[in-house]
Amino acid sequence: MVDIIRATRAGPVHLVVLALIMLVFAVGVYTSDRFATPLNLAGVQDQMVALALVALAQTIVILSGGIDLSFAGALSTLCVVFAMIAGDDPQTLVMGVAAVLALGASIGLVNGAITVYLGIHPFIVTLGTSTILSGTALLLTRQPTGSVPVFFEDFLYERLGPMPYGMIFVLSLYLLVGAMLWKTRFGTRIYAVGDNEAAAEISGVPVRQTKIAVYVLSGLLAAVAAVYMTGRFGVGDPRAGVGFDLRSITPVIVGGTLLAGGRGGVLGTFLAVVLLALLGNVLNFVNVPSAYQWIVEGLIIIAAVSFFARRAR
Amino acid sequence: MTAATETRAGDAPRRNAGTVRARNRRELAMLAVFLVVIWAVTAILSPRFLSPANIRDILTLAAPLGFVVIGQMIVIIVRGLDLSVASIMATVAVLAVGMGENIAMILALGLVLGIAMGAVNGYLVAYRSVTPFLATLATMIVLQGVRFAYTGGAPSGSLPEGLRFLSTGSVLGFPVALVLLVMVAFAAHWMLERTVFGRRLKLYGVNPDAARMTGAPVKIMVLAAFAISGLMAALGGLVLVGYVGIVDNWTGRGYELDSIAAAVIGGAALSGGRGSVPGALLAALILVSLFNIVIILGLSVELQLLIKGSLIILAAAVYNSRARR
Amino acid sequence: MTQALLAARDLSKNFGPNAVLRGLEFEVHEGACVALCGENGAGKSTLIKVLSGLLAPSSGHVEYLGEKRDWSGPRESLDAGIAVVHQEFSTIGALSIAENILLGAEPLTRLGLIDRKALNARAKALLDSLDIALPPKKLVDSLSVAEKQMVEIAKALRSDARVLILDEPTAVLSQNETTHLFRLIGELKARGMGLIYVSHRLDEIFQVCTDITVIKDGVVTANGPVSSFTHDSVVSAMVGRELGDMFPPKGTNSANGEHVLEVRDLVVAPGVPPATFHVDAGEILGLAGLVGSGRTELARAIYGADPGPGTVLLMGEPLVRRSPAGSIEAGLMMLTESRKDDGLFLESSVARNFTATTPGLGAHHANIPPGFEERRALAMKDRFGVVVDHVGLPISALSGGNQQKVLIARLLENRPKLVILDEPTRGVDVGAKAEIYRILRQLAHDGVAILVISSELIEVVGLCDRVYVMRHGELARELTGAEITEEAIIAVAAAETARTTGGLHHG
Repeated sequence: MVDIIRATRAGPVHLVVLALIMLVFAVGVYTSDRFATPLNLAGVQDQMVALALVALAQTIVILSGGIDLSFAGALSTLCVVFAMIAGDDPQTLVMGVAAVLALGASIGLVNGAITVYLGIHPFIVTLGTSTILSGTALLLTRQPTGSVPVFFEDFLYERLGPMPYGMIFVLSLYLLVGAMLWKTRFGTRIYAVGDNEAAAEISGVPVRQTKIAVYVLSGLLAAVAAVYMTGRFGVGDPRAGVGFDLRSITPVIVGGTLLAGGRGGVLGTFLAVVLLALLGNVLNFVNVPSAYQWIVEGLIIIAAVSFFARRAR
Repeated sequence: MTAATETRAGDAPRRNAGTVRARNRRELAMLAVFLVVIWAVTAILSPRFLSPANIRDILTLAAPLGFVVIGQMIVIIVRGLDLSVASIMATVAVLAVGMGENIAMILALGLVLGIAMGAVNGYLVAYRSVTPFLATLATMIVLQGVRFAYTGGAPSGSLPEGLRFLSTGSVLGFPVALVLLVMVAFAAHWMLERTVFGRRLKLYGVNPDAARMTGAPVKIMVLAAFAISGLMAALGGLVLVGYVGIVDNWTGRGYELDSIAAAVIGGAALSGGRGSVPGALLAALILVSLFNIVIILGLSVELQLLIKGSLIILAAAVYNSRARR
Repeated sequence: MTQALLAARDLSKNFGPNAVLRGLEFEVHEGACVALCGENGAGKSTLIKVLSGLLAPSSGHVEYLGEKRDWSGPRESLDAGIAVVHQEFSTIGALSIAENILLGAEPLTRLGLIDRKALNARAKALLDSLDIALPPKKLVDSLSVAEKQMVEIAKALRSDARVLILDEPTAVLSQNETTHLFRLIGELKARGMGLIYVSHRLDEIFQVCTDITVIKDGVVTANGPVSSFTHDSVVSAMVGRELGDMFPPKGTNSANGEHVLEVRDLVVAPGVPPATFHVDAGEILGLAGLVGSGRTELARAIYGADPGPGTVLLMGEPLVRRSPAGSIEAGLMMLTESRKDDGLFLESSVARNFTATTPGLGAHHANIPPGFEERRALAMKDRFGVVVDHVGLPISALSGGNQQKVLIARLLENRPKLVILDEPTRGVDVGAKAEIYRILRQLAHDGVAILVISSELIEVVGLCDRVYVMRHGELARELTGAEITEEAIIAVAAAETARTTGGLHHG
């Protein structure tokens, strides 16, 4: 039991987020008959998938003490490239996936290498690469373009019971990354580097390699998100990533991972993604305009941050 | 590098190439040279570039970004970061339109609102120990909500005539917005370089603990820096809507990252303590010129994004390597 | 003679203009525990960093097991068998004790995953063998400082280390914990390891070490088995007796009696008796005591840098605004212990650093003319003999002594009534030291009250008119006039149980 708590880095914040999820769910059930239907709940899950994937990547980067703002540009470029290659049959689809994964990893490699070897703040580096990649996506195409095989699109719309395939995939990736953080040396190193870089260095942790690897992993996960997003749209949108740079950070913070690095984990991020998605859905049901949803989201960030600021003291 | 060791009479300090001031001057010169080079190259390729109308276009468009960059840079000097500037721009603009025709009233209220929004950021950062990134991210999202709630999705109301004048009018042949920017820039530069407050701001960025131990009122200073950024964003927002001619819930979108980019290209470092008003303005001018140049030369508009992104990383790398030496 | 396990051969290390190590020779043999002694800034920490590969030598080399080694980093030296317990702990708070101990050497299953059971078991075995009773699954965040150090030692010993370097290991330990540590050291010696033990506490050195190497200003001044040393000979090798001539004659107007600073019932830390004392005009009052005895904390509380309930009066007026800004305004200035942390603005110019406390002095606060601060700084440079080509150069280009002179000059810009100096000569060369002493004495002569904190006994003895010795956060004893001797200070400072020697004399 202790191990499970440690492995998931569960803490009081998770109980708070969980309680909020149940509260929001209860409000949803009370407000509308259509809320707790499989159809609606599947819709909520579908909306979570892309954000969940990107937030997972962001969690790893933030745990290591960095930040990745390149998702806006990276997702756009990756979506376009994928749709251009994926074509109509399984063979091109596989090629597309392979190409996009390689491209995502390279983007991460560039981010990581510049951060580590030129000593530039990752915020600036990823802001730069994001801008470049946004331009690249639009240079490739101004309008949504390309296609994915129909069977792939259909596949992404199917569900296993109440759960869309996309969501199952997200869950397994979270489990996988969670296991990586708990069960591999690389995972331990991420926490060590994020918590205290100098101490990690003295302890013989390969700090530079760890950081670079983290950005590569982030790029890979962005590629996975791009494959999903393109599959759902059916085309590659050169503006697909707009907003994901900052949006990806909210669930990480609300889920209890500290921006300073070293503290937190993927369970919190997942719960926060669920909370934010359910909240949006329920507020829609009670006819609260999206304007107020933003206000609530902003206040949740402030609440979460002050909660941790007080605890850290 | 030849160190000019000319000795002047009296007590005047000898010139020395290694001084902090000499280094800052060289960085400014680098930026200026870069700007002149891209302008010269473009002018050779397309004579239309240097036409008065086009120059006027560039300068006018540089005005709103210029205001925002000045505020952003001041926040970055105190080791902060302001992601809420674009949201403040739009919110102030949207609210200002609803305030009738009296331009003095609009300006006064708009600027006060900007200061207030910035002060909230500053309060969270200085007094609640919230990371600037998260404080301003939250403010950005909340203001977005406030704005959409106020407008009900689509802002209405015509733009007051005075606001149009602020951006597109001229005094003595100079664009009003530009005259305003020059005045504000001069004031900001003066504040940073020649007042006790400005000196302390920069010292705080270099070493916050030492600044506190040497008697700087650090919390109020940080709050003030964010309030100034809010003020500059409000001003930038009003000038921008006046220029565009319509108010939009997304006025100023992208300015948060553009202003950070310009501040960094202009010599500010996220680690704090570095940055100057002339540098920030040159960088803003470079960014706006790039957009104009790409269009004038008939290149893809998107190309400017590639150049801009590369420039951000390149500038940071150059400054970094110089600082390390 | 047997071959040395680890040795430094003609080792030099420069930081910019500062030569920290100068052709230093050093050896550790099997089964030996070598005490590395020296004042702050003598080069001990730098030597350790070079030996363990954290820094590369400027010239000379490190020899390990008879071979010349050129470490690429701490990882290589660690793998080779050199373990270091640093003064600043390298534990990771976010990880458990077991994860910390075996960081980078976690036992893996056949799939390449961390074998958690084996990880905890191995850590437990290691902790048991060292007689440390800590649960391996506990997060390091929740440990006390002493416990963190135990984890640190266990981590250092996880592999078959041949050499263990302990940097000020007892600074944060209680008596019991120290005894435990000494037992451990005895056992490691018996196992044939070579130990390097850095400490200021002479009693401990004579208790656990086999050899002593004293370094001063980057060179070895004495070296040999413990039996060939006495307390006095170690101290004299550390400081060099010629220091005695560096101090200007003490003041004669100490009977003046005007209380410039009065501290009443100032609570610095919970569980510590509140402090009450005063500093008079024209006197230099010393605060002596071991590192961690609460001297800095007391000074920071007086200055308003850290909160501390109680009353502080300056010239009879209570300080109302309890912050550095408020203190400065009232005429109370402080030089902090660590120049780099909260004294210097490293990237800024010498002139900017000099005027940092009073940027607008002598000018309109909203219109400081260009060149004004340079002119002020030039005058200061001449008066204090700061060696720098141009006051516009970044202060990072100056030597430690010159940096310190600028910081001290900065305190005196606004006619202070009381000046607090925490370790005023740390990391400063001998020449600058003498000058700083002269400046302080002149200042006292001019009627300023001065409070000096120092870990260098000779400095306290040579400079101060009156001394409080601190122990466990309280002012344990007041010494005046001829009572101020190194022996008297050490006797009070190192006494273990509080309240057995002399009570607190209120003046």
